[in-house]
Amino acid sequence: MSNLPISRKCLMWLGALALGLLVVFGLEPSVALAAAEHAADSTAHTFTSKVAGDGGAGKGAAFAFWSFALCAVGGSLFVITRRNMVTAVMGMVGTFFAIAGLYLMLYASFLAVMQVLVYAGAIMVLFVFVIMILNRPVDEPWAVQGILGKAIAALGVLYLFKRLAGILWQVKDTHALVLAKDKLDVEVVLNHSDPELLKDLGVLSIRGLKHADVCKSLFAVCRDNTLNHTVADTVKNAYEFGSVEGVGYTLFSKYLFPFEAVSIVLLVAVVGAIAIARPDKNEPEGEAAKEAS
Amino acid sequence: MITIVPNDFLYLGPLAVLTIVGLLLILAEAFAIGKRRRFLMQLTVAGSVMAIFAAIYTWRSIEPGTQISAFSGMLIADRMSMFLCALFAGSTGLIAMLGAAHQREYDWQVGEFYGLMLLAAAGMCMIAMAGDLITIFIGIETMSLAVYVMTAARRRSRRGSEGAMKYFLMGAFASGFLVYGMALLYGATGSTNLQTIRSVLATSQSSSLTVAAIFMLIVAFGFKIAAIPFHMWAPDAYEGAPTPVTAFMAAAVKSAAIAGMIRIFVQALGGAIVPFGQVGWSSIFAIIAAITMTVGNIAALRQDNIKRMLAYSSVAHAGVLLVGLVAAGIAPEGEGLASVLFYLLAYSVATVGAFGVVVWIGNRDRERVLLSDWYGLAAAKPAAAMVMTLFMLSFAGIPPTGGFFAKFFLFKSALMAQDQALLWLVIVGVLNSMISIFYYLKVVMAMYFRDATGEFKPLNSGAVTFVLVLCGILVLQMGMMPTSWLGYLGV
Repeated sequence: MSNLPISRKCLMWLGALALGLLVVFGLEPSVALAAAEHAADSTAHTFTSKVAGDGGAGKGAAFAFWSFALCAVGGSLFVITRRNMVTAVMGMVGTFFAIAGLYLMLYASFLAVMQVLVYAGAIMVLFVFVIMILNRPVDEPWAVQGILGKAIAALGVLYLFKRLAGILWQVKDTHALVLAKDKLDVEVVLNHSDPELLKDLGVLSIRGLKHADVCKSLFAVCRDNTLNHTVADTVKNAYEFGSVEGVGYTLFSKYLFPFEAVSIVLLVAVVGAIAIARPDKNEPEGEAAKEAS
Repeated sequence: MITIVPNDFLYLGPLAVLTIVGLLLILAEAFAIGKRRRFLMQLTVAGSVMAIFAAIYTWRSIEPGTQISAFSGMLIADRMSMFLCALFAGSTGLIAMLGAAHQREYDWQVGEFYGLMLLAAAGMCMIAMAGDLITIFIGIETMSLAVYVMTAARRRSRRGSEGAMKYFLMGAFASGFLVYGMALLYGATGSTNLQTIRSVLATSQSSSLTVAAIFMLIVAFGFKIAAIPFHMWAPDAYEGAPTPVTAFMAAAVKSAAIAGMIRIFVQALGGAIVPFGQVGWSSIFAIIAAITMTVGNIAALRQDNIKRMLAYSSVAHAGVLLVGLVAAGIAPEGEGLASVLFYLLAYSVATVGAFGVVVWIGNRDRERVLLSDWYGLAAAKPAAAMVMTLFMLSFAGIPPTGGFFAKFFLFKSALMAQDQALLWLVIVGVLNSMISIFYYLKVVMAMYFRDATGEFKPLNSGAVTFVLVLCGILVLQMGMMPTSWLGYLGV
């Protein structure tokens, strides 16, 4: 694995790209929203040639999605292939940023911010501190000994990849259909912009509007109109789900028990870390040496 | 949309008791510097006993065969979970008694030990009561983190640190697999709730995503129960940890992992709703079970360190438990689940007892963990040799001990499942029981037919003696009156 020809420059470029995309999409949530809507569609498009033909509007979002995904996977490969630990950690930062971008595309704006603040910010700083304080020499990566173990592991991984590939093939059968159906509903409104119909729906003007704005108007329209129920509800729910309010509400209603139980996990971790790491005051000299000999 | 009702808190009994007493113990330790520490152990035992009573009380309040969902589906209260809570609390209490004497003798008085042990037990109760993947994950992490620390608690022991490090790295890796598997399962079904997952999978054609998820979950739980080929950490961690902690890992942690597997595999993914060979995930587990039993037993034959031998024996027992899980998975209406629970009980009692004897026999100058250190025990201390023989017989599955009926019920349920589809597995299991008799009897031979090498100076502790006597009585009682226990296990 350590000889994989991944150029560092290429990865840094990808990281910068991810950061840029994150900034662009992060500034305007509604853009990200619309992008996400289209990314989902376009992802399906990329996989299936059946529905090919349109989707011009989704190309940018699809590009964003695949860039983020590439950054995430590339960054994690970077982490496990570098021998210099600081470099590896930098790869992890790239991965975290890319994942934050993916969260954003999934409407989870709060989670994306937390990902950047907590993981890419605080935890990575800790990582770097620990590595620099310990100042470990460059390490050999851990290797599975024995040809049998390697063979079994290789077979297992191959099987897993086969299964995962199977998933990608299955996506077009189930999800693309659903998406195509939803898309149709949107397009009834967007493309067949019949003034009379739109007036009925309460949308006064549609020309010259960005897709995102139309999406916003659609919420307004669809609150009291059952047409396009699914799309509007999906977008609306997703929009609310990722907000701070939505996360807080879920945390204290449905997920109350896990939320409280996590505090026990943290307590155990803190107490345990102190119990192991604090200096042993009454350690008699030479006992460890006696046992070692 | 607030879905928490006051009644939900009624079912938290054992979990709440264990958590609160665990927190009290962590606080108490801070104020106990330089004072007598015996009360820490006494408080632990009191907490465990209270948790057992809470579990029994809740058990009685639940109708047999019903599952009550609490905290919007995050927890499930049923008779099985209450039985498991009582089992975890019971082993925790007994092991705390072993721990106090061991700590005093080997001078590793880490006060956090008791608090962490009770919090680990609380995590186990969470796993047993889990109705949601998230609860299972949090429970497993609570338990694992505490046990990593307990493994390293004897800080002057290099073997302890090495074992803890291996255990921690492997365990962290396994947790990664666990989360990934759960995420994929969520991706496949759109829910983390076990009942919803079951109904979604039953109505829709399950995808490759489900299979990949199950693949990951099998790896993760394989690590936790130390099934082969995921057992590498077990011998080192078992040998390096202080003996009471080894007992805790072998008895309680393994049982808790099995409880999680019952919740995920048997109850959520059970039956033929998942494609994976002919009988769903069971086909993979059947193969793992056969390999685990065989390799575990053969490796145990060659050990001359008792703790290492018991480690490999517990690997082999994990294989037997998997046979029961497979049977319960492919025939959910059968007796598979009850037999697995009975096996857990018999195995836990014998494990705590056997490690109790290992704690009892050694002292500061000579820990006596090698087989040759046990030569001539029967002549010097006949009672101890007798209870150790009982535990060995129970492990090997020889009447009149609980282990015999545990194996009997378990293999019977496997034989009855689906037109004897598991006949080959049962044959492998029975053959393995015969192999295991060799090394269990090696201990008995050492105690009875060899000459002692030096005078025995066992620990002089009433608590340890109490544990040994209680476990001995329970092993015999389960061997003579197994039906009464089966009645309690009617899940």
